[in-house]
Amino acid sequence: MEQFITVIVKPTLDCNIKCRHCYHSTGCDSTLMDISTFERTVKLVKDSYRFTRFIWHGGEPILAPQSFYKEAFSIEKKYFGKNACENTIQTNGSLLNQRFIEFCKSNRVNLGISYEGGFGNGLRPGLDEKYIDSMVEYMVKKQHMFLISATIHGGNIDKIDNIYEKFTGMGASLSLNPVIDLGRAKDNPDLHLDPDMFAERMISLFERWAKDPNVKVPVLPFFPYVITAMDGYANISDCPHASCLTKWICVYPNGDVYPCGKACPPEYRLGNINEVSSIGELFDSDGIRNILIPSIKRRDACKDCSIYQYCNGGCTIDALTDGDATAPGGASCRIYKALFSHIKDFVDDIMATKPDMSGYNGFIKDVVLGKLINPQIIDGQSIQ
Amino acid sequence: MSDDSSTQELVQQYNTQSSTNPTVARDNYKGPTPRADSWESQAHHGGPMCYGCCGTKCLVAFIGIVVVLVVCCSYVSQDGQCCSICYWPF
Ligand code: SF4
Ligand code: SF4
Repeated sequence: MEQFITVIVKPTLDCNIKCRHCYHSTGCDSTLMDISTFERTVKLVKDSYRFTRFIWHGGEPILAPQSFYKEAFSIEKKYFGKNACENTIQTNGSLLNQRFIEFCKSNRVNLGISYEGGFGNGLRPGLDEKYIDSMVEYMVKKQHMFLISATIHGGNIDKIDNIYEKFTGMGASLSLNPVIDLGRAKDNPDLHLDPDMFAERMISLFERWAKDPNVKVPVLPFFPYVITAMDGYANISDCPHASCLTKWICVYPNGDVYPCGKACPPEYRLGNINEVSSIGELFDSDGIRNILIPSIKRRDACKDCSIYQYCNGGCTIDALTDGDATAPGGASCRIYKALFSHIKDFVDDIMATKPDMSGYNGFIKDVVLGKLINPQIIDGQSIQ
Repeated sequence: MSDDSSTQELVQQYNTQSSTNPTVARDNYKGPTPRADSWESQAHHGGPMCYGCCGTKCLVAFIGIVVVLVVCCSYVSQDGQCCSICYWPF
């Protein structure tokens, strides 16, 4: 029995907003996943894993009604018991309402809201930003578990500080993600982002976040990267740097399974959940071979990189998007190299000089304190 | 590796290239931690490991610590030395 797998579930590929950078460029199929397909997924996962995490993605996952999620969560409980599953719903936020938010809270579901706080600059046509602001304010007030996921692209990179200020100011956890030239983004060249400029802006934002003792919320990827630098290995949630293959799967509405939720090419299809008898069978397919072979070649090519231990060669879909899944050096590689190296130097410097920590935020203080109290537990080298 | 390797050999090779994560996932997975949870949720209130999630928990823990201290200091440590039962806090 394996310990853990992350399962991305796409209950539908349909969407009410049709963001200009969406991974899924081909039409919006409105098929809704049959609940029996989800039950089959849970059953097979339970046969092989002790714990799991479901990330509900799409399309827009909240196009599936609340009754669908009610049934889905009771299926999880039936197979895994009360606390062995985590759930995150990644939504564009436009269909949220207080009732659904409270339903999520009572089921301990994290909400991920893809939103730029009014600084999307045309990314999500027709989005009612005032309405989403009101939902975010409600969740802050009610201390709901949620994370704002803002996409940074060529048209809003100069607003990155405004996005940061808006959400950290209101006490909403924030993740800043570069646009990927995949799916619809490829057809919208105005969204293209210069990776070096993005890295530069992120480094100055990291300095601002880390040295602000008053900041109350984590900002991603800064906080996980600080932990990675300290631990010596990437956290399991940081998929591009935590060797995702055979640790993540994505189930489409019709039961097709892919190694990841970013639109994978058809040759990476692992099978159909309704046609296999175990998760292991998916990992013995032509699809897994087709993604493993270029991934292994790329990781071979990375082996002299000074931060390989933390990066593990990055994401294969990103590398493929950059033109060659067998070669490092694309946009995500350049961003990680610049940003993570900066954060690693920052953390190493703190550990070497042991400065007065009152000038740093509480998250950095926690990590440093944890390392000082328990150096032998947090040591990536010792568990290789 | 050659493109003719079996799928299991490829998985094995990929895992060997993965500096740490498969070990973490298989052997050391501990479930969600307050630190990990806090990425997605709670405000930090400044004190070490002090998040918005833990008002009641902190209070209960605090009362527990005070009780332990009072008992230890009053009864066990009368000779001025800590007993060997607990090494709190380290
Ligand atoms: S393929 Fe890329 S995006 Fe998908 S899980 Fe792996 S690292 Fe993450
Ligand atoms: S930073 Fe780039 S070169 Fe270095 S390990 Fe990652 S993908 Fe490879």
